[in-house]
Amino acid sequence: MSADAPRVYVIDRILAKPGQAAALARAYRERYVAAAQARGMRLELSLLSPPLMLEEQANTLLYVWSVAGAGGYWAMCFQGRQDPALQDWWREAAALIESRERLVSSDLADVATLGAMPC
Amino acid sequence: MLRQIELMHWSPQSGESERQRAVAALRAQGAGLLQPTLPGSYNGGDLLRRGTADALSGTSRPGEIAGIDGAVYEEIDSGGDWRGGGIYRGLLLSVHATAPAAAIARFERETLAMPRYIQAIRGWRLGRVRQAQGSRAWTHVWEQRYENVEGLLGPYMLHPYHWAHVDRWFDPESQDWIVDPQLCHSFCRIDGDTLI
Repeated sequence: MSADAPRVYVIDRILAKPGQAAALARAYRERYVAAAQARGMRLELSLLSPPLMLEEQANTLLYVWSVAGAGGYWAMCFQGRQDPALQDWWREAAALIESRERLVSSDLADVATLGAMPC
Repeated sequence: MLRQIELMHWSPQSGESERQRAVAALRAQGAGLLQPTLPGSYNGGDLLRRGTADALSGTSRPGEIAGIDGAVYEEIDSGGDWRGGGIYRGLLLSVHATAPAAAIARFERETLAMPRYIQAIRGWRLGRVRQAQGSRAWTHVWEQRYENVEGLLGPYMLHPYHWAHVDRWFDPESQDWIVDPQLCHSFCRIDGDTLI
């Protein structure tokens, strides 16, 4: 994997169960972040919407990670998929989550570079 | 027509001369493609055999073969050009039994659309497994032909349609995850004729 490869953004958009956003953010920080960084992921942003902890309504947490290109993406996957603790984390976190979505994205300016592998 | 793939694992007790005799015996049976797998295969076995289920049904497996991951499968769809040599690649995968039918259908459609975006895939076929053998209850066989190994390891693996789109079905971190992480990814040279 090249350090010059365009950044690939791995985005977790998580709708917390009502009143559970603080607990979810704490669990994510304590149980997920360090292991993800060990897999080569760089945490670019941690966002809360709306920007206050709601008590009886649902917050959305948005975590924006990046890895170095397709090589970084596969390296992250190959390490994570061998780790049962990662599946345990998401299974246990489901108690705090209403719904979630993971998106794999890039800067629009990098689309041509990322898709330009020769055939 | 049903097709069959077998990823054969050598017994660790078998020696080189025994393995050569076993390969010769398998080759004498005919029955389709038979090649050693290439480095980079993952859970892919040591020998790959692939042919029609009819042709393989009458064949035997030498004692030097300790185990097989394999499948008899029925085509969902196929396309491209299967003539000539190059590289054959087969992926055995197992969709969770609890996966919703609509999700499986979408996974199949998106997988079959890969050649539209990844032109290194020269021939392709997705099949549903009728009979599975080995370490998982395989549900699908996704097979392709490439001109060379670089087509598989380069454009196929590095195309964003693969890693940023289809891979989510394989990703335990994705909300769309439906495929068991245990896969058989195996590839070998194609020795000559058109793969039926």
